[in-house]
Amino acid sequence: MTVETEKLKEENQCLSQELKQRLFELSVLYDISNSISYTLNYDDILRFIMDSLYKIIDYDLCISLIVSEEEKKAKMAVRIAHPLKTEVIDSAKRKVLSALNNLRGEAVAEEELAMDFKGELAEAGSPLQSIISSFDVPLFLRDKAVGILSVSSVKNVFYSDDDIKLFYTIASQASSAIERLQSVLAAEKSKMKIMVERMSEGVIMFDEKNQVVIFNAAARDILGYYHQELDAAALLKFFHESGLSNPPDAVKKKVCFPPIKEIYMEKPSARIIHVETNCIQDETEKPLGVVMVLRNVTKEREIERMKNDFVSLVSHELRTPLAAMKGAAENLLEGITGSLNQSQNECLLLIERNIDRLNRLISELLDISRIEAGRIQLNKQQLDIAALASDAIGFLQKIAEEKGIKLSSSFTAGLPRIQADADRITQVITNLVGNALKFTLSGGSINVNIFREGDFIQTDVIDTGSGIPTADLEKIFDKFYQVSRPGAKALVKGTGLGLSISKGIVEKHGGKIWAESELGKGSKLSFTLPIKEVAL
Amino acid sequence: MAKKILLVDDEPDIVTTIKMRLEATGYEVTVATDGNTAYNKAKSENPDLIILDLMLPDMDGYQVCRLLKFDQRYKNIPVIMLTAKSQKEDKEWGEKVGADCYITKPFDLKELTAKIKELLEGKDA
Repeated sequence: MTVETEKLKEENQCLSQELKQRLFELSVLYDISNSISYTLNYDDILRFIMDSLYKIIDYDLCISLIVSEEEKKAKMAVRIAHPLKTEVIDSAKRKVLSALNNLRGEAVAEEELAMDFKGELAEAGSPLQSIISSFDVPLFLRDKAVGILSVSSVKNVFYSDDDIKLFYTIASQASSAIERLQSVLAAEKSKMKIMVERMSEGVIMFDEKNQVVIFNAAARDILGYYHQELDAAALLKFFHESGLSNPPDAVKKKVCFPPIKEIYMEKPSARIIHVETNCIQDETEKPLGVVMVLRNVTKEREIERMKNDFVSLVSHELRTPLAAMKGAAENLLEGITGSLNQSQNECLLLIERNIDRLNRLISELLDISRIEAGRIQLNKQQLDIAALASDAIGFLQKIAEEKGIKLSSSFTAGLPRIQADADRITQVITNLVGNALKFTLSGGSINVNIFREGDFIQTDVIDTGSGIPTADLEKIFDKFYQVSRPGAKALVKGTGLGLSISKGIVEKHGGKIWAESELGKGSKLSFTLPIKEVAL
Repeated sequence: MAKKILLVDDEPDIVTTIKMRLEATGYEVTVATDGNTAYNKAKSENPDLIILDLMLPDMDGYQVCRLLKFDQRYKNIPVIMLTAKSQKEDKEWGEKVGADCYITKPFDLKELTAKIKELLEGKDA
């Protein structure tokens, strides 16, 4: 009885032990199948399987070898559980490779293998080792052998039927995962291909060897490739002559210059094409080539041109009646038509002042439309910016005095002369100082500093006005933007174009313009002009 | 004898204001409102100075100016170009066809009369 009980107990223990083992194996298996369902990468799958295998099968060395038909590449991964000698690993690797070559009937050379190695090598002088137990399972993909999973040990381990069964299960899991992965990749690829092909933007991709990889329908349409064969060399020559960077150069430098360019084409019909060029790399920063996104902007440019012509025409038509009005008011003010009493005189001055204001507005509208159309012309000459600034400031001195503002300037002596448009730069300085005058209260001061800053000449206009809220610092150069500043009177009303025009002028010269400010303390508006002329 | 000025502009209101000022200043004013008339009057009325608008019917101000300036008989008559065009190249064109002075609209009548005086005196000297 006791013996029976003992035996039963023992058996029970054994069973529960086995159950535990099975449960553990199952959980690992579950883990593997779960994770390979979510990964889309061969390396990840194999790595995961090999690492999981270690939990259930006692191995010293695990090797996986897999051939990717599509990429024509073979990849071998080696995991070592305990330090092994190089010779042992090498012979195991060769064995796995030849086993796969036998299975597939075509040879993969050892040199073509991409290797992924993880583990420790045994120190020199350690006792001799050799593989004692091992077994391999093939990985099949649609009945074709694509790989081998192999485990081996330098110890005398007994791999049970259960171990082998489990190993086969894992291998078949891996196979089906790879199969799934391949079909997902293929589907994904064709989805992307269809998407790119049907995009409304033209897309062209060159690899680093100047081969055309993508050339979608919109690109064919934009470039007028309706029937003729794609001639990559001619296409590259055209892009190169249009001033775009050569794909191999761009790949080498990892940057495309210019990134955005509008190119003009005469055939098959006149058109303007907006080209955005980008270097692309994979996640390991390996360059893949150059992608160009093309857009036909002929219509947009035409509309812009019409808009600008319209603005010019309207401005001209507005100026003529204003000229007549101004002339008539002037004649009256001059007393040509008889003498005026004081209120008549005041009324006429008011009319004249407002005619002038309208005229200024028209000039500014014209300027901004020219700047936007890129048609602003600079009449560049050698000029002394300090002398120019002195004149402009002198002109504004009267207004400053009337407002009770101290307007002063300080220029570094011996500044180099620069190539610039005197009228336009005067306009910028007048705008900036005029702007400061608007926002500075009586008793305040405005300082204009001109100095050299590297390859540039910088002009700072510093006021003690109300300041500009940080959020508005960028916006003040926008068209029609008017900052509502505390303390600024309703009288302070410009067109909101002055700073925007100044920005256009400065940038056309190759300089920069920006603002700094502290609310309540004042603002600093600065601009730079290059000492050496820059090609724009 | 009062100096005679040929005023050419197709805008009647501009003509009125300028004419009023010039006559008040003491000049004799004769008017043309298109290019052909302007050219013919310049030849037949022998003005001492011409104020010439650019945008004119028939023949534009550039053409009128060029025809006169390339003719030995009339090339010494000073020409003031008056226009609403203010682009740099317009100005350069004006200089190429031989205009003596280029004033853009909107202009000051004071500025205009000062320029006239200067040109007429320069011619006499």
